[in-house]
Amino acid sequence: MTTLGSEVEASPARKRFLRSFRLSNTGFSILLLLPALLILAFTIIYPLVRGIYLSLNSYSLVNFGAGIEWVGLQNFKTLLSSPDYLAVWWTTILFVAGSVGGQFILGFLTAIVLNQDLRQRNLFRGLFLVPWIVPTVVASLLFKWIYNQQYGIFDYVLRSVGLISEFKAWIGDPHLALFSVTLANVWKGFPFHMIVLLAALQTIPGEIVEASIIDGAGALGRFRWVTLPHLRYIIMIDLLISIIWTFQNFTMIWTMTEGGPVTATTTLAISIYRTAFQAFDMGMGAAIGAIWLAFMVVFSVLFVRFIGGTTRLEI
Amino acid sequence: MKSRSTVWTIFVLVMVFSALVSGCVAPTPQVIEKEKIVTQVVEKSVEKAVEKVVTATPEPKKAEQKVVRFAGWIGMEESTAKQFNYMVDAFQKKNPDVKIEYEGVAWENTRQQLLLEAASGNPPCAAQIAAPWIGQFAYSGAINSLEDKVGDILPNYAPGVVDAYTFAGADKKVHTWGLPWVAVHDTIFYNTALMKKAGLDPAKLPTTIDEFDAVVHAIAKLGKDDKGNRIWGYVTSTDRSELTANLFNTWLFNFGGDVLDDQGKVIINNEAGVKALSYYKKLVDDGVMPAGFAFRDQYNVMANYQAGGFSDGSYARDVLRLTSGKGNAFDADFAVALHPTTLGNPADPASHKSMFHHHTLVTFKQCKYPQEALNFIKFLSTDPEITLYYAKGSSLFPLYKPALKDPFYSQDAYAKTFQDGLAGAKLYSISKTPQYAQAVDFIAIAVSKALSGGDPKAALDDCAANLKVLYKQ
Repeated sequence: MTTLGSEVEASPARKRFLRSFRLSNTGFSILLLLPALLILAFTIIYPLVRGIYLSLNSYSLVNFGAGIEWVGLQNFKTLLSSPDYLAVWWTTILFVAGSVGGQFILGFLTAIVLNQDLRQRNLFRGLFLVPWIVPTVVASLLFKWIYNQQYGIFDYVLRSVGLISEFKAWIGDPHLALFSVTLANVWKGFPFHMIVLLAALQTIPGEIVEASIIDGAGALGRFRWVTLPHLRYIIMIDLLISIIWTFQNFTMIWTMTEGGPVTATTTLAISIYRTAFQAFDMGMGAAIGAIWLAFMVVFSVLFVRFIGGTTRLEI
Repeated sequence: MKSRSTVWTIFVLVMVFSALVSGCVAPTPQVIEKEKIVTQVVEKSVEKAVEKVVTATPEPKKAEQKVVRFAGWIGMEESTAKQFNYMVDAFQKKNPDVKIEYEGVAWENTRQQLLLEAASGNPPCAAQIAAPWIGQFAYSGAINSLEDKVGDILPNYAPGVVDAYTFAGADKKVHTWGLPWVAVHDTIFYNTALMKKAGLDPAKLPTTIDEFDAVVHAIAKLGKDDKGNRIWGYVTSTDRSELTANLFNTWLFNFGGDVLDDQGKVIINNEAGVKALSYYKKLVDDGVMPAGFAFRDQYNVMANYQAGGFSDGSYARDVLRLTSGKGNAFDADFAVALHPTTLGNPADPASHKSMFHHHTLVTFKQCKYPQEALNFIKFLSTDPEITLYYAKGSSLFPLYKPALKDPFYSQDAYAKTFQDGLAGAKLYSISKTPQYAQAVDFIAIAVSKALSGGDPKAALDDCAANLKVLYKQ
């Protein structure tokens, strides 16, 4: 058994080959990694460093002749003392929790159902993937029409079954808008969880399930003591990816509400766009991004530590 | 040693094999080069021979094609695209050495796209912008001042318009930053079919806020149409958007308010401002006007007889004709009047205030052919034949007085209403400032906050506090 990260022992022939170029193992590894590292440096590291640098400056595109002015931590101080900025964080957390929670539960339930020996199982597996395949802009415009206060089918259906008496402005009312956008995002994103969890469910060995049945475990017991522990790492990765994606969600919210009404759907992504590309305050936009980045790094580490535990993956 | 020699042997074999394979597949560059040279020599000798036979005089040198990139939404919208293509063709016929290259940008994205293009060193040569954005462009340092280049024609525009574009920019010196193109200022479009249904006389359009209030309440009382759809008395943009702020501003003007006073001091939360927003809120609370309404939906509800009216500029006639699917026949079902007011004498057009969003033409500093770009925008703005064609085709009327001499503008009742409206039209007070985008967002938030249950005074006080920070007051 070889654990990940352990050093692979080089064969004598390979060692001789490397020696002929006067390169150590490490040197050879660096040589191979160099092209990828260079690309990463230009596409990720430089923008990242530049973004952090901008966050410490005042730079407006409305007056780009004035150039960049060093302001130190002023942008961060302004942000952290602004109740509006804290409200944006709260909206983002609600949106992420609602979206990921809803997508995960719906995706997991669908995966469990589609893992059963059903007729036309493959057809349903394909059909349930449709929301994931539909481009986000198209899905957003679709939901914008579904929620339309004048013609929307959502209002029509709810009124037909007697749940509401008057058409409601689902994305026009600040009390309903975040819920409505989250619901649309749940629809759009649940197939991702479904397909990941379905694949993971199929890796559970049949013998373990049979053994648990023999030991007297019921359906819930099998789910709690066999399925969940087996899927633990997959669930962790699935949730982590989904949380990061949902934090970044811009297209759906912008297309449906542009962050409104009032500030009901203004998440961090919308806030950055409004600050940097509508108000053209690049320094402040970069500061929002820098805090967000720091939060995501800390969150990801803690998430993996607490949800994934401390056991290392083994192959 | 043995493995080392094996590696080298494999390497040499691979290289030889690659060379052979590539030799079979395609000629090497040298071979291509040789073939090219031979072909060129043959072609040249044939050309020379033909030249000698066919003509004794050399062909005149082809003039350099000057490409002027023009950006705007005009070519993207169904109601104006055809007219724009005609204008470009006409200009290119008059100027055969100039080619107008069109960059289509949706109205909603124009401001930020052009400013980003300018910041990255790749702006168009000329562009169509909306008048309220002029301050941001002036302060960006990206556009040219025009007073020295077109000073001869500036006095010929409708009164006050050029003044609105004349103010100090980033260099702290007063310049004229844009060339007025066509007039866009708010009037109210009334659904006369619904007015009749509500027992109102469509010939008597409201001139005061009280008259307006009576009309929209009467229409809203119609309740629902045959299909069960709600009928609104009046609709306007009330979501979180620039247009929500701008359209509210016209109401603000007509209640005697403004965002900033003449000295630039924030006054949006004064008595007039609170009255204007309270009236807006009352319309929502009474079920006359929807909250959270998107601007572009107004054409659908109007064309489907689900709205008694909306606020818009003159181009809306063509949008309604297209949206309704009835073409010019839909003109029988709506009428247009100046914005209702609480100010002065309602019989005087100057009492009916409106904010102008005039389409404006600007040229950018980073342009290879600045003179041609200037010639193109002058042509669009002042040519009598072109402006008349545009006015007749898209209901967008020029602001250049010599072009307005055509009898069409005084005889056509629709055109005349908009000509009258110019008397009360003025530019947003925040439009001459670089903080425009943030300011309109604060205003849109205040409007939507009040319309969704908030207190108008508190919403405007919050807005004023934010504006004061923005304008460092």
